[in-house]
Amino acid sequence: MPSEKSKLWAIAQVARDKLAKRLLDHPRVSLIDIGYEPEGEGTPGRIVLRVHLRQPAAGQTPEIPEEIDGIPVRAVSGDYHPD
Amino acid sequence: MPVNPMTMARARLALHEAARAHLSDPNVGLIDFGLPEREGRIAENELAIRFHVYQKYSSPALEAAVESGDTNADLSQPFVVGGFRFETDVIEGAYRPHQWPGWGGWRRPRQTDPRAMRRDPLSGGLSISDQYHDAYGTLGGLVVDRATDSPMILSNWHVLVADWRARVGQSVYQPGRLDGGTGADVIATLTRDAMSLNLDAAVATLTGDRQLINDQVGLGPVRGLTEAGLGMEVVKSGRRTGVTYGRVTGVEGIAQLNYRPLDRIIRHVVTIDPRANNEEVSGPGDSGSLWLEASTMRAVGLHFAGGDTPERALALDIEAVLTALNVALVISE
Repeated sequence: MPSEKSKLWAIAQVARDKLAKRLLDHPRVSLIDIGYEPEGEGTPGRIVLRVHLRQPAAGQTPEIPEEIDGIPVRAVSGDYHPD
Repeated sequence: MPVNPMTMARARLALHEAARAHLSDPNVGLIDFGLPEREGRIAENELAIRFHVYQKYSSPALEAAVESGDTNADLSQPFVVGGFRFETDVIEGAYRPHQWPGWGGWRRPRQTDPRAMRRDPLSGGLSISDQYHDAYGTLGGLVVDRATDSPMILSNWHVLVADWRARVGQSVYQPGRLDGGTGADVIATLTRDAMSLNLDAAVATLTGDRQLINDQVGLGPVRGLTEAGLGMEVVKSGRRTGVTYGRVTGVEGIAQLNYRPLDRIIRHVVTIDPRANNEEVSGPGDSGSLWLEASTMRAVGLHFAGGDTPERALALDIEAVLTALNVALVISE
């Protein structure tokens, strides 16, 4: 994925770490990763930070920033368990 | 919390007695020794004999349940062995015979499933477990110790280690215990794991009784290594859901998952979605499977977790796993 190993990618990695530090302890947050813009949102193919959220029963929705260091942040559903 | 050896020895004796007395109880799925829950929280400074039950009864209901044969006894009473008293804890939710209640969907093996049978030679995609838990996970593949050249199997921490008090040298069964594996089915012994490096991964050294070859059931050999890329189509061969396909939708993830009783940060996570709606990517028991780039059969990840809503699989970046464990994946050019 050479094109993604670019300056943008390095910025996204730093932004991911900042977001993880801010949100990963929240009971509804299961995973924070780097992915493409979810279907139906924003610009297709754009790199975004994705905050995977457990079901609402796990608690209040955390406050999710619109972007970090210029990288858009998107909330997606995701509740994971060791298989 | 540190446990002194004398207490641990007494606990083992008590556990043995508790198992003898109560493991045949139809309501009991698992008995272990660990941190109890007190008023909804894990008591970090206590230890107890823990009965994992399918249904926890209130006092009035318990009497009726005993009478109807749904359970045999009140398990909440302290357990006394050799004059030594252990507190107990009754935990609901152990519907699946595994050490972490609350996981979804364990099912008994179909006797015709070749992945659930004893196999020789061994290959990736087969049922395995540690020696202590009625569970099954997946044998990922053949790796070689970079320090000693010893052949090893690669799988997850929660498949090969499966307990915070586990020790190096414990046995690995093929098939896994939930598929009928016994002490006669030992194929390897636990060597090291990478949980301290935030990776749910471990290796066990083969005993040599059965050969492990570079082959994934239903897929063929692993042909190399590569990095997971967004949009990449991937495939795995796992004990539970067999050969399934997916597409990488996230990389370099950081997750926080519960490995009861502890939450753990897991790094280097690759996120895999189904290629199409209603497709299954993974299920409980697939842990340890290797995810391969579908077009090249090059390994990209080690499966370790999944979710149903929405259907999605999580894997660990394979390079990070191999580096952390100081092993090399055996591949065919």
